[in-house]
Amino acid sequence: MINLLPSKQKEKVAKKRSERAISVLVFFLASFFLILSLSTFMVRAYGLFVLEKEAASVIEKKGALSDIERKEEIINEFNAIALSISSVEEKKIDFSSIVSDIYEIFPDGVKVRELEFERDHPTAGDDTFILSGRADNWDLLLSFENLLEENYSEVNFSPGSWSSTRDIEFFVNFKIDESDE
Amino acid sequence: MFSASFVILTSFFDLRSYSNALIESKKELAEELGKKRDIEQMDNLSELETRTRNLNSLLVDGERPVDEILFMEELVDSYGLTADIDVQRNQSSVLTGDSCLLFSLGISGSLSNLLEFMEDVENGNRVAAITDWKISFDENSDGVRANLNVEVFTSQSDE
Repeated sequence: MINLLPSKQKEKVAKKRSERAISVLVFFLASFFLILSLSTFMVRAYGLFVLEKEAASVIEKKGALSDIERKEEIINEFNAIALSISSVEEKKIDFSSIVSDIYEIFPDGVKVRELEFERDHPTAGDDTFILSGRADNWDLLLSFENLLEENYSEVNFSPGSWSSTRDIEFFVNFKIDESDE
Repeated sequence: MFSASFVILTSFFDLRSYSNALIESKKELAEELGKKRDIEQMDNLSELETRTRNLNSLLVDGERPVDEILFMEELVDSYGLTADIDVQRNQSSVLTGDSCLLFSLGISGSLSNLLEFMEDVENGNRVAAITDWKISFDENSDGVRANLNVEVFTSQSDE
């Protein structure tokens, strides 16, 4: 179509057209970014909602973990006490029955004066029983020695114990086998 | 435009860092739970606590030796024995190295009563052990004089 408008008018119309085109472009761009911002905001909100839910489940599991840790603490405490008690039970010696057994093997005519247990004996070593007493004669002391040797280990009479034949003051140390403890 | 870009970028980084932190935390948690699966499947907490308390009740309170002296006096009396009792607190056991009260007892009485007393100490309702002892016999009677070292073990909390 031939534009018969005067040149001044033509310029005005062209200017208006370009202005309209720019405003349309700005409008579309603004709309585009607005929609993009809104949708990003929505996605963010949804993402946060999902993550919050996950975080809640993590917190719940952490609670369960703290229960487990408390349980672990109690188990460790239980084990420490049990270990300590079992260690005592394992290492202690049942002396009441041992003393009773020793006393029973004394033949008539042999009297005990002192019976002692030393954990760290200076010469005989650890866990030594030391016995002193009096025997009426040499034969009784010999039979007593045999009885001790039958029942105990490392039976050692002091040399002086064999120096007389009657009213013998003797001194002996011995050990018990670990299996007897 | 700038504000829109700012919103988009911050949202993206926010979500990303939050999600990464959450993934890390879940990984750690899964690892911890995996390690402790056996413990999780064990008895419930209160039952475990009761068992631990019961076991702990076998050990005496090291901070209250007077109670134990009274207990020991009653025990000695109940077997018709007489005793001098001395106690040392916070001792380390010669048997195990654990904390204990060390009783030094000087006892007089009959041998049979002494042996019953020793058996009660060894097998009674306390964790105790006789460590060193010496018995002197009276040649003319059943009477004996004994010196005993007795370790009575104390609870862990006293250490």
